[in-house]
Amino acid sequence: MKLDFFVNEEAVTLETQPQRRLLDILREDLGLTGTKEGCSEGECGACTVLLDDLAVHSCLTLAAQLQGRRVTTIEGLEKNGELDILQRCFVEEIAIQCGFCTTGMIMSAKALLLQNPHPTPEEIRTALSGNLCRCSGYVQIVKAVSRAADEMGGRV
Amino acid sequence: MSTCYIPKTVEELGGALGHLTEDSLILAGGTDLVLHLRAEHLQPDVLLSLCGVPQLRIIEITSEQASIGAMATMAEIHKAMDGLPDLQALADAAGGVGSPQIRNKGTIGGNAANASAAADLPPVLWLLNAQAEIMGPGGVRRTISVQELADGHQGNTLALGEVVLRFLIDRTAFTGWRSAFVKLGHRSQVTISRIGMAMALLQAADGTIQDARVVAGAIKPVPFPLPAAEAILRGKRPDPGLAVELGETFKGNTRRVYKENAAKGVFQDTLLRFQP
Repeated sequence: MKLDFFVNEEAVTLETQPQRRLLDILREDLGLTGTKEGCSEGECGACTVLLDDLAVHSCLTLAAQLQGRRVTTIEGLEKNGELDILQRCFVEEIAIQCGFCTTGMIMSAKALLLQNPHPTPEEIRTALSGNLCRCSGYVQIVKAVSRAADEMGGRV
Repeated sequence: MSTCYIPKTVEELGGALGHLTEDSLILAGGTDLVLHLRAEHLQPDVLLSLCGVPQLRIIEITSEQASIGAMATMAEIHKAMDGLPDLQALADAAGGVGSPQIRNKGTIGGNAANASAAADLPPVLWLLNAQAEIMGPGGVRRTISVQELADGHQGNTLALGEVVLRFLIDRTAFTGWRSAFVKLGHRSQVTISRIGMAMALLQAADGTIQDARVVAGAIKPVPFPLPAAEAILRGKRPDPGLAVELGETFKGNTRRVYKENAAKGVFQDTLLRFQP
């Protein structure tokens, strides 16, 4: 099928299979390897990207669902060589250990702040409930998202 | 190689449905289908994606009726229903499915048609006597009850080439009612229901229960109405102290003995939702 969609605000046209996963399109066809493959079954959240500004699993999204849609990956957050505030806060709060879950965490957090710029810690935990981290223990992660929300002051 | 149809209108969908065979697959949110595709190495002759039909995502709520497009996502349903007393159980159930990522893609049509015994929306759809509007090849439509949609074996009764277009709930039948859904899982988030308790109560001004409906999910292959529990509730107030007696109604109805005991706690949590 001919697929026309947007990745990080750029129009992309691909000849692909309707059953091809967004995760594979991003990593293998477009070279955007920031999105990680963890469990491949929608449990771990490592592959989270934004689809029309909502957090989704790229491992459970097929090409046949992407026509005309807007995808944002971790690579799309950096603007003009500057990290997104969320990315910077994750670094500064040391909310990263091995880093494998981090891109998915940040994309889920981004989706949250787009909808709710002033989340409570409980709302942050709910928004990140579909993202597993097996080394940091979440405390710094929630703190990083909370700090990013404060620094953004309602701007996303 | 699969042929892929991505219709843009309901009319186009009616045409595409005529091309489906026993080897075809219908793609809604994909949160279950993609797992099956990969685990079973399925090679459908036709893949029909419902994602391109905006009309299938419409949620329309009037004082008389709730119409929920089959492609409405869990997140959209939660947002639309939350705070509406009679439809609150639907908001609760949709808001508790999987993770945010799953709720942003998983659809009510997929949840009902896929018909997992542990699915959270079917017990609520049964509770509220929802109807399913179905379309087949050539755009032929029919409407059946959600009870008729389930085949009793974790599948559906849809014929080849049929899809659910939307679910309809007659709100006039629930004027003055409140509903709630409480689920028991292994953890509070991202969990599969071990018990899904859907309850609706019509209460007098002093709290006395005038009428009750109770349907449990994840107990049998299809949602499980509990008339015995409804009889216990009628004429009483929603006192959490009734939970032990209510839990007894599960006896003999589940192969999992722990669920007989756990039901008491789930009833307690559910009744707490009806406190003034």
